[in-house]
Amino acid sequence: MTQLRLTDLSKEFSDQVAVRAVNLSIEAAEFIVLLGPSGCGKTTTLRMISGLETPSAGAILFDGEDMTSVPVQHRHVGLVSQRFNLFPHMRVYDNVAFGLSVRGIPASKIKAQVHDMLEAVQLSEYADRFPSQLSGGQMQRVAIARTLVTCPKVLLLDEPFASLDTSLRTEMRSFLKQLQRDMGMTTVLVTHDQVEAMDLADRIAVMFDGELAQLGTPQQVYHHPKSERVARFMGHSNIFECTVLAEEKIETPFGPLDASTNGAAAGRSRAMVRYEAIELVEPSDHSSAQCQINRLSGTVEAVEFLGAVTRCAVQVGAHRLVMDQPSTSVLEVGQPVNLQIHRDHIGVLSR
Amino acid sequence: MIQHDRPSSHRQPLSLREKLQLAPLLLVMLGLFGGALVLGLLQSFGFAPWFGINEFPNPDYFVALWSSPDFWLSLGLTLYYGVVSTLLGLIISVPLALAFERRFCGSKVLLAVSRLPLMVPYSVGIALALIMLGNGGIISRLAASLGLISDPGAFPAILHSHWGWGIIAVYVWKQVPFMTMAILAVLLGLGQGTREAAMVLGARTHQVFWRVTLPQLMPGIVSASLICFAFNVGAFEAPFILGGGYPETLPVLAWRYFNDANYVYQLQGMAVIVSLTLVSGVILAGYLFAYRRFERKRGRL
Repeated sequence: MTQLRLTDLSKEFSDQVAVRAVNLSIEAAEFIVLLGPSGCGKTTTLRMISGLETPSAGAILFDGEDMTSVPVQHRHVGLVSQRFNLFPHMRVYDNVAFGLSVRGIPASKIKAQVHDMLEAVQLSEYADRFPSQLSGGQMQRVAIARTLVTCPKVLLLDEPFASLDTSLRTEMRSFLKQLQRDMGMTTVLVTHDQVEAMDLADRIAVMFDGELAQLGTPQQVYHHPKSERVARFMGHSNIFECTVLAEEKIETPFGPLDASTNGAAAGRSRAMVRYEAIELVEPSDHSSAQCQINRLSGTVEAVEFLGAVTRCAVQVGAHRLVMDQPSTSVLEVGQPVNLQIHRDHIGVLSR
Repeated sequence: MIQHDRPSSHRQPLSLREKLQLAPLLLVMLGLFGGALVLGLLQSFGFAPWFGINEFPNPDYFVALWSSPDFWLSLGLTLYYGVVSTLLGLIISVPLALAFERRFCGSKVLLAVSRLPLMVPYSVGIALALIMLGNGGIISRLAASLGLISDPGAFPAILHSHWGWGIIAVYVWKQVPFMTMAILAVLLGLGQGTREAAMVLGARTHQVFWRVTLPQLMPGIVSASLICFAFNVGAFEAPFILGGGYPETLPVLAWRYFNDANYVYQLQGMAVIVSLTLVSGVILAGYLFAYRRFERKRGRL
């Protein structure tokens, strides 16, 4: 298990900065997801960790040892990419054995290790097939087996599910998650898919324009994004102007609300609340003073049926709030409703 | 519903328009090439009524040719020039294609310059070989002026020798750009993915080349070497001008028969051509067969 540290890591291509002074410390056996839109520098960061790109500045440390100028062959990392990059002229067995054979491991040991690994990825019966004779999911499992059999210090995954269909993607996600937990391998995965990131990551590093925008657990990044950009990227949310009055108190177009201010200074700012964080409550529910906090009244203006949820636009005073409710609840346009938002789900954003 | 135009697996008869589109190719292949081949075959078996000879089918021309040691010497020499220059061309072209695959300062200009021999006729290459490589040529004079040899005449005989370095140099000079282009096209199609994967898995540069790059380059290497070998075996000008005299390559031998004052020798010349076609056809078919077996072993066919 290897601890990975990136310090002021930067990469410039001609006159363009792809990665700008990224600092990231990844614990041993941790699963980190680099999440961001296309061109944000996440793949370049991954390629620098693997040794396929040379950083323009900064350092990459494995367990405190500087690996920045160590050639790719000697880093002992594993990389699984979107296109799998299996060797088309080799059978599955030879693909998996490749990393061991180039290291000069005796054939008898290779045989045992490859068979164990093929068993782990449930592909023993496909050992004699060529990559062109496999399905997408099988190809990906071969790519993972080929990498894991070399016992890499760090496992790097570059959008490994991007070329799979939705059902296979979900299946492979849980397969990979289980495998990573079983093997306890430090893992860095690159994706632009928020759901994938939240499902897999111990921590998510959100990147924009080559910079690290936020690092935190999936819950932190989703419910308490630091900036409006992270909030919008992570999913649907109501974003509105507010004034921070005091710690955990903000003034909004919907009235004064208790909120998680994240230590924001008093003054004008913006706040967010996720669609699903707005609860529908009964008008007669006046049981305690606690229940009256962050309670709003409004009228349903629009209803959209989206399968699992029903999305409703509720007019609260002069402004609208959008909320998601389980699609089993029946809401109609014009219906008066009472809403409640837990203070922990209202986040103040930095500009 | 959007319907995509996909070629159907069911074979349909050609329309008139398609027949017209194919006509020029069929005319050249069947009319000129096929016709000439049949006529050549007939002549080699003694059918030449325009010379007053009609002995068809008479195998004597082949018997005479194949029983002569000169023929086998000529065939050996022809194949030697063909094989050596093709191999040398590949040895130069593969690293060259790998170098041009990466963009570097001046790579575009260098690539354009390296393609120049493609546009220059063979005769110019032969003339250049005479000017540069001959015993009175520029290199020999330069070597003499530098004191490396006593006089230009002492320069090693590159031209007009049976080692045929001059002939091979011209073939290689002309074919390297073509081979490089064919291999580079395959390389660019492959992309860096599998080679990067091999490096990450711990493969060193030579392991990446022999175990990952080269097997994937085989389609480009096979097609380029097939074309070049076939050309080298049948080429006439370079061995005629730069060759070392007796024994001569088969195309030169055939030309000598054709050029003889006695017309009857033209039939013998045709037997030489048919023999050369047979030998190179067998070699090319064998090469293709071996390659297809190799590809089948690798699951590509």
